Parts: sequence; C-alpha cells; structure tokens
Amino acid sequence: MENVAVILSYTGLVLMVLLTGIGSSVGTVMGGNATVGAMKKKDDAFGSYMLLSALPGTQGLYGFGGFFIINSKGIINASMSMTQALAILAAGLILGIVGLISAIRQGQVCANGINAIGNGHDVFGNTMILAVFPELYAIIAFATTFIISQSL
Amino acid sequence: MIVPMIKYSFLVYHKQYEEFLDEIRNIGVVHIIEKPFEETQTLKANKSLLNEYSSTISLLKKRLKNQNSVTESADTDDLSYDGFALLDQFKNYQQRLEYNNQKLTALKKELNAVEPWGDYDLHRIESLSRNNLSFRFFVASKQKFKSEWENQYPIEVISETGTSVYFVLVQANKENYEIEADEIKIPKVSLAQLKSEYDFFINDNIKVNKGLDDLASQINVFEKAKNDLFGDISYERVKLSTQKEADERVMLLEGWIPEENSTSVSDYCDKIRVLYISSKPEESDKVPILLKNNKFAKLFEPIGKLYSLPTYAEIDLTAFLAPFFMIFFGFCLGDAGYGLTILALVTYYKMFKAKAEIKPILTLVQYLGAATILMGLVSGTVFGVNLLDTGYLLNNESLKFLASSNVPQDIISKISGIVGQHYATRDQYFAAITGAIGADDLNEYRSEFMRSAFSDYSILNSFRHLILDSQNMFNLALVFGMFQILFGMGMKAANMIKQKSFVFSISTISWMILIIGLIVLQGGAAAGYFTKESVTMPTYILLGVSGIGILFFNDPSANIFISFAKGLYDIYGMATGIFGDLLSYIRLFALGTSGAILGFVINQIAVQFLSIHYAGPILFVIFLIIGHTLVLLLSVLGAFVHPLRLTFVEFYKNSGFAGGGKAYKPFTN
Repeated sequence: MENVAVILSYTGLVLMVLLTGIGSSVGTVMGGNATVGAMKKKDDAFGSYMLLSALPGTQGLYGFGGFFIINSKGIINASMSMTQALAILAAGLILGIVGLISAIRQGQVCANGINAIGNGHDVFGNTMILAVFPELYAIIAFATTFIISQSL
Repeated sequence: MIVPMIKYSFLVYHKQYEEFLDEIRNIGVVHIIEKPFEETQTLKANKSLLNEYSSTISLLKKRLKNQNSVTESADTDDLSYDGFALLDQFKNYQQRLEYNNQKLTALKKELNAVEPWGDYDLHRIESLSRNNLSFRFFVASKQKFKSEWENQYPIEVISETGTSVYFVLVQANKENYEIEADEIKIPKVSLAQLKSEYDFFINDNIKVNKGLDDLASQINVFEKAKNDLFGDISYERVKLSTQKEADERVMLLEGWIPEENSTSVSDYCDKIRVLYISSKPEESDKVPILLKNNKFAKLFEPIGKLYSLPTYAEIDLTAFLAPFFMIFFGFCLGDAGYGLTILALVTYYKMFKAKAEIKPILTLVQYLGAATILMGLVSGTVFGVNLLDTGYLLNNESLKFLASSNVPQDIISKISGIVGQHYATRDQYFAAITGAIGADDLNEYRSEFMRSAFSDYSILNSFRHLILDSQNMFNLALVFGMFQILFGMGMKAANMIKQKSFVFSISTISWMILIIGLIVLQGGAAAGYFTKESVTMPTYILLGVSGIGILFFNDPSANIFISFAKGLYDIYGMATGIFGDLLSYIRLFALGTSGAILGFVINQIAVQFLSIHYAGPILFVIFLIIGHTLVLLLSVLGAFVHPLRLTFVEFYKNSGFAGGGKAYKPFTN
C-alpha cells in the first residue's frame, strides 16, 4: 500500500513536469514557426517576434516550480499517507493539463500576432496583453499547487 | 494630465493664405482638423515617393550596420546633395545589381554545363564539320559507361566527375554510331568566353556595391529629403483640408492649439489681420490628446500608449498606473540581486554609452530595478538565495530581548528548553516554539520571537523579521490587487464627476463603501478585532446604505425602474468580476515564486560543481553567471507583460477607462 502512495505521488510529479513541458515546447514552436515566416516579410521586428515566441515558455517553468515545491517538502517516502499521495496526484493533473492546453493556446495567439506584425500591423502591445489571458489559468493552477503543498 | 486645447477657426483672404500657412507651420503648434478630401495626383505621387525614401533608408541603414565603423564615421554632413538624384542613383544601382545577379545565375548554369568539356575552339569544330568530320558530345553515368567503347568507337573521354563521364565521338558525316549515352548539343559558347562574362558581372557588382556603400554614407541626405517631402505632404493635406468660401476668396481652416501656446498664434493673426474664432471643446469634438505629466509619470507614458491614449473627457491615468506598475514589476521579478544587476547595468549604460533619446526609457528601467530590489528584500530573495531560512538560534541575549519586549516571564521560562538549539528554517523554529508554548502564545508574540532569534549571518539580524514568507507574499499580492481595484473604482468615480456630475458617481462610490466596509467589519471580526455580534448591525446598515446607492443611482439619466434593473445586473457583474479580478493578482506571487525557485535551482546545481577538483570553482562561477542571466531574462519578460495586463485589464476596467484618443500632431517643419 505504501508503495502505491509513492507511485501515485511520482505520477503526479511526472504529469506536472511532462505536460507543462510539452505544452510550452509546442507553444514556443508555434511562435518560432510563425517568426520564420514573418521574417520573410518584415525582418526588422525580430525582437518583437522573439518576445512573443518566448511567452508560452512559462507554463513549463510553473510545472517545474510545482514539482520543486512539492519535492522539497521531502514527504514522498514509504511512510506517506494515501491522502498526501492523492493530493500530489491531483496537483499534478491540475497543473499538467491546464499548463499543457494554456501554453498551446497561448502559442496560437502569439503566432497570429507575429503574422500580423509581419504583415505590417502594429499589434505587438495588444498581442502581448491578449497572450497573457490564457496564462492566468496556468498561474491559478500553479497557485493551487502551492496551496496544496502548504497543506501536505 | 491632458493638456487643455482650444479650437481655432481661421478665416484668411486667399492672397494671404500661403504666407499664413508658412507662418503657422513655423510656429508649429496647430493640430489641423482634416476634412475629408480627394487625394490629388501630386499627393499620391509624393506619398509613394515617401515610401521609396523610407524603404531606401532602411536598406541603407542595414548596409551601414554591416559595414565596419570606419565607413560609418564617414557619414556626411554635407546636405547640399540632391536627395532625389541620389534616390535615382540608388534605384539604378539596385536595378543593376538585380540584372547582374540574374545574369550571374544564368552564367553559373552555363558554366556548369560547359566546364566538363574544357576550353575548345568552336570555329575549328565547325570548319571540320564542313570538311566531313563531325563531333558529337555525349554524357553517360559511370555505371553505364563501358570502357570497351573506347576500342569500339572513335571516342575520346574528355573528363569525369563523381558520377558522370563526358566524351566526344568523332565521325565522318556519313557514319552514324549508336551509343547508349545521352547526346547533348555542342555548347555554342566557349569556357573562356563564359568565364570572362562571369568575371565582368562579378566586377560590376563590386563597383555597384561600392557605389551603394557611398550612398549609405550619405544617408543624412536621404533623411533630409524624406523629412522635406513629409513636410510637403503635410502642407498639401492642410491645403486640401481648407474650405473655400465666398467664391474661393476666403479660406477657412480649423485646428486645435494647446491653451498654453495659443497666444503665439492669436498674436500673429492679430498682427496680419486674420480673422479667427476660438472656442472651448464641446462634448462631440474629437480633441487631439497631448499629455503633460511630471518627470516621474512621464516615464510611464510609453506604457500607457501601448494600450491607448485617453479621450479628452477622461482623466489621464498615467500618473496613477505608474507606482502600481513599478511595484508589480518588482513583485513579479522578486529578486533583490536581479534588481541590483538591472539597476547597475542600466546606470552604467545610461552614464557612458546611451544616446539622449533613449535615456528616459533607461530611467524607467532604473525605477523598475529599484522596485525589484525593494520587493526582493520583502520576499527575502537575493540571486535565488532565500534570506528567510538562514538559521535560527535563541541565546541568552535573545531572552533578555524578549523580556524587554514585554513577553511574560512564564512564556520566556517555557522556551528555556530550546535556547542554544539551532534551527535551519523559520518553519522548524516556529514548530519548536509552538511545541514549547502553544500556537496561541506564538501568534501573540510572533514578531518578538522572530526578532529575538539570531541568524547564521549577523548582517540579517536587523531586518530578517520583516521578510515575508510565501504565504504572506500570497496574501500581499491579493492585498495589492484589492487596493488597485478600489483605487480604480475611485478613478472611475472621479471620471464620472468630471465628465457628468456627482450623481453619476454615487453608484461607484457606494460599491467602494460596501467593499471597504465589508473588509473592515467582516475582516476585522474574522481577525478577532471585533466580536461577530458587534458587527452584525453595522453590516446591515452598510448593506442598506450602499444598496440604495447601487440600485437606485446606477443610471441617473434613466427612470428609477430602469436604474434599478441596471443596478441588479451591475451586482451580478461586480460579484463575479471583482472575484475574478482579485484572483488575477495571484500572478504577482506566482511569477515571483517561480522565478525564485529557478534561481535557487541554479545555485543548487552550481554548488555541485564545487566538488570537482581545480576546475570546480571556475565552472561554478561560469554556471552561476549563465544560469542567472537566463533566469533573469526569462523573468523580466514575465515581469513586464503581466503587470501590463493587470494595468490594462483589471485596473482600466475598474477605472471605467475607455481610451481611443488620437495623439496631438502639430503642423510643423
């Protein structure tokens, strides 16, 4: 039984880092691809493209941050309770799934913004603001993980 | 603050008009109100020429960038050159370059085809052919080429490449050999001729590039020509915006002038006897916006402009968003070491390298760096090192301090068991004290216990008790959020009073009273300042009073039933909206925490390097520098964007900010 708790806990941590990491990779690649296209049309706005491409990278960091907060509690061992294990698994699911989807969706907003800038529209500021909308939910998931870790 | 504007309508006699426009342009304060007009051919041509100048300048700038600094310093200040002639020259060069490159591509192809055959004399081949001896050129892949062919047929292998064999067959005109290889047409141009043509275009390209470099060094001439042309276009637009009255004898022109500059124009008009009417803006006027803020708030104007300028009737929020933005940036970056790095680098750059025009931006970054230092100290993070958990030790001096801080003697005696014990983290220290005296007493004297414990680093003893732990940082983010939301509501009420009247602000003020009242009464009761019973009646009174304001003054311009219905809808919007807005501020905490964690991890990994002999310390330092630079860059991006969102979404929404103002652009040289 103790082993099941440890397995569940590590499953939670894996989901946390894995899913958010995948989300951020896909999100940043979307920005990167759009940048390559936009560079053909307007190559003097690389700074804007790069900043927008980097935005979906944060979810992966939240995933890692969540992993760190829980891992540094030092409670994942044979003597841990099933409740603690389920709490960690829940945190992993929350942060992992929300991070995954929000990063990909954020990447889409950024890629559209990059296309638009490439076509000569001055929408850098607007895209930045709109792109952080989906990120809020990854932030809330991270805060949730933090609150869960406080109660472990 | 938005600079007050005055609307001027000028009536000018047609013979005076050109002179009038020239002088108005010299004074350079009138923002002309453009009327719809049909673009003339000249205007269209000038606009396309302006585009040509812009693209030429950007191409030449790139060229300058790629050249070394020697050429760059050769920037000419001699503006006597004719910009248009230079533009023509530039276009010629561009066309030549394009033509040459096309030729070179084609020649390259031909060269590739001819090169395997080497240099031969085409005339001799032709004359031999006339004398009954013809040459046929073949190419075959190495696999297909059979060496016995050389004995079977009169062929001569000319050359071989990695995959193909090139050979020539010589035959009398009557003979006709069949060989299983691809016959190709005899190239009509010799290798030498092709090479010389190729070299010609290469050399010409060198000349053209040299010419373009020379043009790049005269970029100032292009800039001047572009500015002059821009002036001409503005002039043309102003003329087209002029209304012609009285059989085209009187010209009517309208424009906006900042109140403080209006005398210069009216004095001139009085002098040359031009009739004008000046009036204050009316509600329906689309007044151009000129902001005038104090030195500090002015730095944040570019941030406000990222969203939109305010309309003339609104209050300019730049000065009010500035302190919030600064603190929020600091909160999100949240590392005093990073703040110090930013401040030091920017200060150095500003003092020794920066051009005057970017200095305001650098000053803004200095403020952001200072805010980061402040917030980094509040959360106790310096380059990822946590100052909070730096060892806790109670000794006899601590006990004396506790006694002098009015902590009862019986509590002090209870903790004698943990005197001399060392605890690594604040949590462990508090857990030990809770074990000794219980949670209630710890809560009562928490501050005294924090101040009395000695850190492993004596430098921290004086301020470590002020550092907030992560739970408190979480709460602080929400407190900042609540404060900014309420502040925004205050701005909304002020806007209502400015734009309409006090009655229209009652609903917003009621909301503010309700929220603040609930925080004080219910929050106070929850924190134990009041008993629950004692706040019941005041809460009802609060709900009643603010409810009347919210429901019956929601829209004073409508009748009471519509206002009531709108009030109900408003309650729904507010109840869901404020909660969502408040949660949004959690990002301040989350970004700060994730940044701090990354910094900490960099330190942890770097420390591992120290165990390597000899190279360890060097790797340690290199890893720290690279790691923290990356974390800093990543965190700065988030720390800039997220406060932007809080400003433009949460703050602007609660302030009722609409925006959409157009910038004041005077007609000038």
